[in-house]
Amino acid sequence: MDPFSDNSELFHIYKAFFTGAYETVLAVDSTHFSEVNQEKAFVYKLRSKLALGDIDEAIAELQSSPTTPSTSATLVYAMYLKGDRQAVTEIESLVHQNEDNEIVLVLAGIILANEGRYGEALQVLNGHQGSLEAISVIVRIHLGNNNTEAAFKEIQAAKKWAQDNIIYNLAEAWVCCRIGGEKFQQAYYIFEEQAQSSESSVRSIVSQAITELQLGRIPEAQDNIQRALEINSQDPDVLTAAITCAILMDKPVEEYESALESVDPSNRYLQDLKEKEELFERVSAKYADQISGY
Amino acid sequence: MQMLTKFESKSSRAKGVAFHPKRPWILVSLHSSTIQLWDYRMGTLIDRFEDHDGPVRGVDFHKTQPLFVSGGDDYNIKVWSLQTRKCLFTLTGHLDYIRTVFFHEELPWIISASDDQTIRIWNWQNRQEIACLTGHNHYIMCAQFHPKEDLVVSASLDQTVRVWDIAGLRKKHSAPSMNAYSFEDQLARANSVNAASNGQPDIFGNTDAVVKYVLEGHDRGVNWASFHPTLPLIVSGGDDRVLKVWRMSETKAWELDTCRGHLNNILCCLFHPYQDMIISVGEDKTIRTWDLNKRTPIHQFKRESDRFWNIAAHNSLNLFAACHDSGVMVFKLERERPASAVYQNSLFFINNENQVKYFDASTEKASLPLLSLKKIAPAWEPFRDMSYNPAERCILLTTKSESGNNYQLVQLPKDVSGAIEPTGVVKGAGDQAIFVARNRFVVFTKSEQTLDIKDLANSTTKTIKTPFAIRDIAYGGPGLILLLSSSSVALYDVQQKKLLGTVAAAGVKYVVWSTDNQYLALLSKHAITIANKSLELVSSLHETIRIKSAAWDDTGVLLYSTLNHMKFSLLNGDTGIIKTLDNTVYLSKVKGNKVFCLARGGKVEAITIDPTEYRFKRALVNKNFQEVLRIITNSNLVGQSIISYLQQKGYPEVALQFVQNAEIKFELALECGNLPVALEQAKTIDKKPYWTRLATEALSQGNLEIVELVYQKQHHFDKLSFLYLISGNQDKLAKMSQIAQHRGDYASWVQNSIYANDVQSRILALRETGMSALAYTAAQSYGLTDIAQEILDECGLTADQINIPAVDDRAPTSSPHVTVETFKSNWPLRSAALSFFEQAIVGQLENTSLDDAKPNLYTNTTDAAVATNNNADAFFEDELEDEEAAGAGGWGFDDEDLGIDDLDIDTHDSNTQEAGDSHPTGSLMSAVSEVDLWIRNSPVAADHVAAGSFETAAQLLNRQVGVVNLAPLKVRMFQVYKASKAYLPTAEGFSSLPVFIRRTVEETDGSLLLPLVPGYESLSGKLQLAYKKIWANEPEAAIDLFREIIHTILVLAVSSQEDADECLRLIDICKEYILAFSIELERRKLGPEETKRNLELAAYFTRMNLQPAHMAIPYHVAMIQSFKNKNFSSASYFATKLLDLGAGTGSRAEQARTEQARKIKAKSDSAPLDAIDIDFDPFTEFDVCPASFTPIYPGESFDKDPLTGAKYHSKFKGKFCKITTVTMVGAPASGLRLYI
Repeated sequence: MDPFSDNSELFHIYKAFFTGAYETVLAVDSTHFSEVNQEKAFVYKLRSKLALGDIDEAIAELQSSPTTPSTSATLVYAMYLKGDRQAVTEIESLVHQNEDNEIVLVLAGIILANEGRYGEALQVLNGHQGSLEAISVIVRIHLGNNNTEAAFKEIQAAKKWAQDNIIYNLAEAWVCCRIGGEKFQQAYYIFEEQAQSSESSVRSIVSQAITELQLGRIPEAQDNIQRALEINSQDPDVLTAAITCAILMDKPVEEYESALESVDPSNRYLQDLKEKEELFERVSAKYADQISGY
Repeated sequence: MQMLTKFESKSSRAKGVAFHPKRPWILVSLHSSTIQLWDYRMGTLIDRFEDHDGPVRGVDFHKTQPLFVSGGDDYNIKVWSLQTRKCLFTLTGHLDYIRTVFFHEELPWIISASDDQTIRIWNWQNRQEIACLTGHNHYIMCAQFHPKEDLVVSASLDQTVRVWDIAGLRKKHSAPSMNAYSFEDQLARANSVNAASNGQPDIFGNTDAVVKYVLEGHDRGVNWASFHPTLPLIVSGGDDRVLKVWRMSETKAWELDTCRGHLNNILCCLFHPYQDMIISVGEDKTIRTWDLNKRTPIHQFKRESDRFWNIAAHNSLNLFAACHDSGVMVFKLERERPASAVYQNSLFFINNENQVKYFDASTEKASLPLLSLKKIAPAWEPFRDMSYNPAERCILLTTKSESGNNYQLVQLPKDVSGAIEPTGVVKGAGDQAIFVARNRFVVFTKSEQTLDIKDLANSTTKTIKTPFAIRDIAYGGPGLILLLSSSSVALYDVQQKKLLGTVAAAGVKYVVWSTDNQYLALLSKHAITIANKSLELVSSLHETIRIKSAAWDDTGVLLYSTLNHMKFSLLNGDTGIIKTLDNTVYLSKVKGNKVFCLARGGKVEAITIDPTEYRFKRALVNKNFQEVLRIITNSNLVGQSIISYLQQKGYPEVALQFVQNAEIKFELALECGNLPVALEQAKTIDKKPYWTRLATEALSQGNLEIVELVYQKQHHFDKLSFLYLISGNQDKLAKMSQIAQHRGDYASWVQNSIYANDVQSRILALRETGMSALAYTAAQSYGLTDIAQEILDECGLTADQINIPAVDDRAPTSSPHVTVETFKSNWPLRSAALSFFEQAIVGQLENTSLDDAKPNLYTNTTDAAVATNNNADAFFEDELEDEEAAGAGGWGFDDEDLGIDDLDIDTHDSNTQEAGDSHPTGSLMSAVSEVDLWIRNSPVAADHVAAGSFETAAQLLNRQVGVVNLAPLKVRMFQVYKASKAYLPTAEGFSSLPVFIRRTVEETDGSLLLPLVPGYESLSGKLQLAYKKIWANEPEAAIDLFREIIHTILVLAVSSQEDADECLRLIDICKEYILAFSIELERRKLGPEETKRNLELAAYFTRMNLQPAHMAIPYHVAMIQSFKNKNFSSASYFATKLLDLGAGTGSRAEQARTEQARKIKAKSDSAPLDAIDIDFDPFTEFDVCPASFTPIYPGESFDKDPLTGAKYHSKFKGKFCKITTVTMVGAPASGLRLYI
């Protein structure tokens, strides 16, 4: 019942997918895999395409392939990403039919959570039977709701049987980043391990850099961010980390901000800044009338 | 316990053995009468001594002198010299076989035991027997001195062990020398010789040697007895097959215990030199070890067919030598390599008291013991290997023992508090255990050939069968291990069960990773293989001497130690010796020019080395020529090895720079084709072979000048002629001909004439040598009939008598024309691009030239300094004449450091408390966002800003310091807001998760969390920058900077009250400066007619509280303004003030300023009157209102700015502060909070 057992054929695909190295996932040759694993590999490859933004291509590929619960769930997810409102109800009915399919549950959880229906999402995900990805999504939802305690419990529960798994380790690290104290160091070690490995991804490096920021090791963080920028200077996560780090080093940030603006104008970070800007104007106007000029 | 055999010899039966105290030598006496001297480290027989007749049973080295002694069945004791390898003399007296001979530790004595039932003591300096100890009534098998006390112990077949007191003997022989003896002394001495030999007291009642104790207890003859080196103990063994331990006090001695176990006669036994252990050997073919404290057997080592006859212990090293029927073996009983692990700058190791210690290479300090492992260490077995896990701060230790090999997982304590007992130790069986991840380790079981992957709770998560037979495993990187088989090393991924690479390397015992984890060194007994992290072979090297350890330099140079050397190896395989080692050390960490080693016994030694050589070679190999040059210029690195290295690596031109020796320099110069240098050297050497080689090289390069020079010097006339011929130098060729004539060398003359095609000259030469026939023929052939006739006349012949065959193709008489005058210049060579070094050598590279760089720099700086001073002078002169303040020239003062650096205080962690709660679950935050917690936790505005709650932040600022104008703070607020957040990419399908950067890094308790607010560290820098702007006379820029400091502090949180106070002090400084230079700016804006206001503002400017170094500025301005406007009284006042500031740096600018002030003062004092009356009384206290720049005298009503405390006239109440631009004058305020 351990689908992510270390030595399975899917090891590389999982490792790459969950550390955000989607191109690597696509580059894995899965033709010699066993039939079951081929299907799984197919789903993760398509999800990687979706993550990379090639939605139409993925849809076309899905529509032309044999239908299984996993592929249909992926198709629904793709439609959802395209903005199809119908997808929400479709995924719900898929869940009813396939309560034991991991991919269906996970994608349903993601869609519902993105809809803000966290309770339902958690309910669906809790139906999983030893799926680490489901756990990682549950953890993410809890953290998103600032419910660190619940996330920590979820992690503790899975600790015994999943400790060595990369998906589990990453989820554990997210929680650690929120708890802090000694846990920062633990998160750092997890990300460092990923970033040090031969197939390190930009995401692993920037994650390591973020924990370094949290630990107050600013120069080290800057080195890693620089390393990540050299690999991909367009990644929004890298750019936001670069901004934070530059401020802490008392260096100019404009370069990164404008890069972020051009790469991903709808980025949550920028949205948040806009909101804050408006807030500032309002607050500042409130006091403005108290001033009298000379 | 294991026996580690270091050396074995094959010979006939060996009866006695002794260690050299310093050198790796042993003496072995054989039953066949030969004595052998072996080097047990190299395994070579150094010498054989054959002077005895019959078996030799006892041998001993002298502790300090180059001597040894032997005693044999020929009744003779022989003393030998190690220098001449000859027998120096023989001591005779014994009447039967001699069993043992030993030197005294300090006195020039030898003790011998013999079958003649006596023990004799001899003085080897005067070669006399000085005592004969009688009492035993059977063969005496052994007699030894006590190492410290005046005691002798002997063992005899009469079944007793005896202890003798020889204090009397010492007393007698340490008396003054013979010629100082009185008559009585001499008499006494004469008596005592007899007395001693009889064992009777002399006339003073002294005895030389008396039996102190007779130890009875053995049931058969006793073969050996030894003293304990420090304790009052004796061990003896005999034919009754038991060991007995005896104890002595001042007055008596008694049997302590008996150790049974040997199955046949015990022939020798001794105490371990420093461990509580007894070692015995016997005819049952075993070496046995016993626990001294419990008197129980520890271990036995059995040999198949050889009886053991004798055993000796080295006095300082952990080495033993045992003699048996077919030779000698040298062995140790325990490994002496301390278990250790290196992590970054930390070295963890176990000392010989089984304590875990740790050494920090950056501070070069060893810690107190962290843990005591005495309880968990198996008896008599040191820990072998250690693996360290930095994430969990625990170590894995492995031990080998009879009962099976084990590993133990031990948690290190958080704080170093002395050797505490470890808690929660986890154990298991396995041959090797290594961490492969934060929470996983691999246990290797050799017999099963399995790898168990275990978690920290010691439960096995996976078991892997090794892909092939291996002997050991080593760390291979995260999730990887190295499989060490007998012939190769493989990198293995334990997660995927996949082989990632293999490299052939036989018998690898240790693996050392480079600091950047890019390379690894595989150490086997005599070879090192260097591979990269994918196990691709990089280089390998071989040593004849055993390799003990290795460590990587930070720059990727491998340092390794053999038994006696520390060496280095570059990645390309180049090696060299760094140092000779006295003792075996285990290199652990290299840091700069220090190598940290673990010595035997578990001590860290720092060995200072000179890394220049390998750095130089490394730079050269990596073609880092700048570095090479740097090393050449900065160190005196001259040596034959470097020169040959350079030559061999193809850099003769560099080598050339180092060499003094002319011969070598010549060779190098030839090699790099540098003819001028070669010529120079050839001149110094001035030997024929060198000249010849130079000529050859010069000729091949077409350097005719040098070729000519060499030929001339060497008097190679033929060659010279030919050279002139081929280079078309006809003049010289003609000269050569003359020279030949002059020398009377006709052959040469003829040859030259042929070269020059000078027939007449040739005929002349031929005639002079009497070759008339040839001369005639030549003359005839060329139609020189006159000459031909002359010749005929001389010979008395006629033309008819000579028949010359007709020749048609005669050479023309005229020489061919020289078309190219090659001789005029050397053959042109294409100028190759100069190598980096040649450029440097000829000084073409900027700043890299070998000689010129420094002097140039020096002159430049002096020039610059002069220039600045000149500028400064000029500026002051301008200032005197010109009414306008200088625009760009600065204030004309030297930039001085105002010593504001003490602002540098680290805000991090200095005040954060320890996380008290070790159960994070208990104090986790509930579903409240962390930013909300910050708002809840802090009254500091900056924390609210970081939380994004601008509303509450503005409220706080308004209440605390009356902030009303937020716009100028916007940049700073957003900076703080952004600084405390980062976005962590998480699950696919979700946006990045916001995570927070805290200044309370150690906290997990929600009610103590606070955001990191940057900016405090930068304040000091900004202030310095602002001061610089002031010196540069850019007041506007300076004011902006001061204001920026104020704005930064407004949105700032610091971690201690001191920092907060410092911030408030900074605000005060900023206020003074902003006000001061606002006044000055206001003054500069005035039109020329507003003289009064001008003078007033200049005067107010002087009232500001500036840094002492800056005070000169306002006084100077005020003085000049007053002087120019003929306010001499004021000018004099300000000049006095300026002079009162005293000498600062004494720079030229300041001297000029002082001079100027003196002049002005002198001039002003002659007419001390003010032309214009201004609103300024130098003797009244007042403040200046920042809005109107008018004085506020005491008693006048005013309102304060709540942040800076600047005083305003009351009419400005409710206006925003001119200094801060954000606060409101007169607003109610509670004071700025920066710290909680």
